[in-house]
Amino acid sequence: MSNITKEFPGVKALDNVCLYAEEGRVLGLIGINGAGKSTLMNVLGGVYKPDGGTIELDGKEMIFHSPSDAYNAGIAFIHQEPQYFLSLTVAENIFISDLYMKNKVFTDKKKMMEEAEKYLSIIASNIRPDQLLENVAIGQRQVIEIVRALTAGANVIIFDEPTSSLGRQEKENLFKTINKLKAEGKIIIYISHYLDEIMEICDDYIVLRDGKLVNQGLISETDKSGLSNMIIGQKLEHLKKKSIDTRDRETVLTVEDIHYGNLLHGVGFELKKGEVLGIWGLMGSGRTEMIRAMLGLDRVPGGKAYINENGNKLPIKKNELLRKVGYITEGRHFDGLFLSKPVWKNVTSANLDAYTSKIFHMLNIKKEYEDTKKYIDLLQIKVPNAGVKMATLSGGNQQKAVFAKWICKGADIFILDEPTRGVDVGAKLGIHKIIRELASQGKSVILITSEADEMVDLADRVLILRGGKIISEQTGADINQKNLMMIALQGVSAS
Amino acid sequence: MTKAMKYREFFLSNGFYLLCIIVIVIFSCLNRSFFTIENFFSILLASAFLCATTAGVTPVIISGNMDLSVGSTALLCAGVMYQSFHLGMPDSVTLLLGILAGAVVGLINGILVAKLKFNSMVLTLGLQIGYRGLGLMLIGGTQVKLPEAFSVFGKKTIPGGLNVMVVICLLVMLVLHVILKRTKFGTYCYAIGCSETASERVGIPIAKVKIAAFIISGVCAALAGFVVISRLGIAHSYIGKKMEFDAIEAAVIGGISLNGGRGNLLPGALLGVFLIYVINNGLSIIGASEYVYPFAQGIIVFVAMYLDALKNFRNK
Ligand SMILES: Nc1ncnc2c1ncn2[C@@H]1O[C@H](COP(=O)(O)OP(=O)(O)OP(=O)(O)O)[C@@H](O)[C@H]1O
Ligand SMILES: [Mg+2]
Repeated sequence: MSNITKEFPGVKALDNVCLYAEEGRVLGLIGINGAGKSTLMNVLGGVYKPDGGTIELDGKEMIFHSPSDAYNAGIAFIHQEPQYFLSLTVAENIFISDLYMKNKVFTDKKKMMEEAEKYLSIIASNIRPDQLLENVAIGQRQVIEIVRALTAGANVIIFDEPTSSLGRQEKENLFKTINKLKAEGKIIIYISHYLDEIMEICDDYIVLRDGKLVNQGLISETDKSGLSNMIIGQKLEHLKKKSIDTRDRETVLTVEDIHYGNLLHGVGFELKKGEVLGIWGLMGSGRTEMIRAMLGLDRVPGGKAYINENGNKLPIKKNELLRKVGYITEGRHFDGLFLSKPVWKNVTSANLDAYTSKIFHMLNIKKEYEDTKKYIDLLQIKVPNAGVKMATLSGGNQQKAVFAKWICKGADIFILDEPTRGVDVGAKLGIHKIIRELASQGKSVILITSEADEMVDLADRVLILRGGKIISEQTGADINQKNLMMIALQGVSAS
Repeated sequence: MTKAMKYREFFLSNGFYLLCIIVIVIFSCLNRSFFTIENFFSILLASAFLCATTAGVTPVIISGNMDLSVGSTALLCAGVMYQSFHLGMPDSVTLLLGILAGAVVGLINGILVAKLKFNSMVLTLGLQIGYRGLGLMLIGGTQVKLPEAFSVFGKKTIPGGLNVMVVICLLVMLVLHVILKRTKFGTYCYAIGCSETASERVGIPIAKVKIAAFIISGVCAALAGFVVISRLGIAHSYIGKKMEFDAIEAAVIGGISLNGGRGNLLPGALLGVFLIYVINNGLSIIGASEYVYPFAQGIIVFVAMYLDALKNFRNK
């Protein structure tokens, strides 16, 4: 790809970017949120037409008018936001671009099931091909997108943040598959904010910032901190670990005896004032489900919740709890935003009461706008101004906006499920700071994350879920990577 | 799972069928002549045209659009057939011209929606006035008698006594069900209804599929028009009035989502059609006042939709 330029109203998303990818190598494409990574790949995948520049494949110049042009040219694209169809089966979702036909008229469902099964088993064998997609857990839907690209038999495969909701095992399988594809001489482009992944899987890297190519080179000649410096353009300060012993503090929330299908068998915990309580466990250990059950979002056979006020333990109805907490969901990309509304309306939407006047309930739009600007700065949300439509933000920036929305709402208890998924290294630090600050203001935070270093950096206390029970509680220096992994995997601590 | 939960589960997932059975049982108790073969056949005959229209709009609805012009299309096509008959065309040509007229209407709707991005509901709501006007001009009167030969076809039966029209309409439903479930076009309809952006990304020819869906709808509406005039032996200006709403109602009762992407023709929409006519027929047999019909229909639609909503709520 050479001299690619693409402008959206108000933003120059790509400015004369040249990209050269070689067969049999994995090219890592990195940069902050809104740098233009997805846009560049959307150009290559035929989704956007560039304003200028050319694409060459095997020495031939290509012009793509639609995604199917790119598909036919052998380019498969795993989108940042998985593209799927809820009421179709998994197999149909996988083969939708190229349905198997029995003859001219009828589709061959049986063949699709068999083939889908074969490919699914490479990445995640627990998904059945005849399942309807809506019955597949949100976190696993990304697998379908990946498998769809694998079955296309493409020569160029673009991965735009493929692992953001994958479990450990699935991630390992994916990397194995990528290495196999590499050995077969395919061209692979890999976008991720997890620098560990970039270091592990990529051969080359290029760094984008503000639509410009700012750096490129061989992975073997750099390291993680080198990459992160290139991404944000300055040295990244590091947040020191500072966990406090909160065990003796006042309890604000008590949860008892939650059962959830065959996932959870009687879990309970106490949340203390001003602490960051980590919930750790493998993907699929029931972390998210525990929270959903506690808030009454999923109906479960058992479980109680109490809120503690002035030393009294008051039983609380579960749906009442939902109103009292700030809950940032794991799938916030799907249920947290009004995409066709401007950013400022989104940010203030959960807290409109604070912006309405006493009489006539008129909205104070100016204040909404001003406050939104504050969050935009705080979280480094990259937008031309606060009035642009949510849909035009890059994936990571949308995530930040949802985060801003819930922080803006304010609450005494925050529940954060994977709060930094999909955001760049700089903004991650910003979010970490906010979480710390919330805790120091005396608010309580329940943190769920799959990243061990995030847990280690932030949590004061960690509960570890395994086999449907909380098997262990770790505090202070015991919260370290090795310990967390050992307990989650084997049920015993490292020491 | 406890026993009570199992019962609830069963009730929720089969609520619609239970509702149908309850309605039938009630009418059977109220009047002896309700639960008879003859009456069953007459319900089938009365509902035949609606089977065709419902089958036709279903691909449109599933692909996320709406066709409110089917009633007027039926009238327009009836008008075309009437004129063609008058001009002394052979039967087969007449039927063909009628169907062709339906296809053309569908094509127009489809192109306007798919290529020029009109909102399908607003567009077809507006255009149907024009189609109806054209149909009225072709018929040229509030009620005109059709030549004998026309109604002969409407009275043909297959061995066993079932009317040919009924057989044709049921076949249309079956064929469309198979098309929706087993062909590329059908799968694409569901996909587009689920998510248009995703469909675009995976390279589905969205415009083509939408246009085809509208053509199917037009053709089926034409067939419905033919069924109605050949059964009555007259063409009148009331043909197709409210037909679009009945079709949508049947589809919705049968569990087809108006948001697109979900629902089945068989058994869902077919039972929806039957339920409407079972109620009408039952009420007329027990001698209820005409004015009760819409009310009873409304109640049933509400109950059916409520059951559907309950089910979806549970699934979440
Ligand atoms: N459809 C659009 N209309 C207007 N602006 C857009 C559109 N799509 C992207 N942009 C803008 O282009 C810029 C680049 O966005 P892009 O999605 O490529 O970022 P990204 O590097 O993929 O970021 P992330 O890591 O958050 O996914 C952003 O400033 C974004 O706001
Ligand atoms: Mg992106």
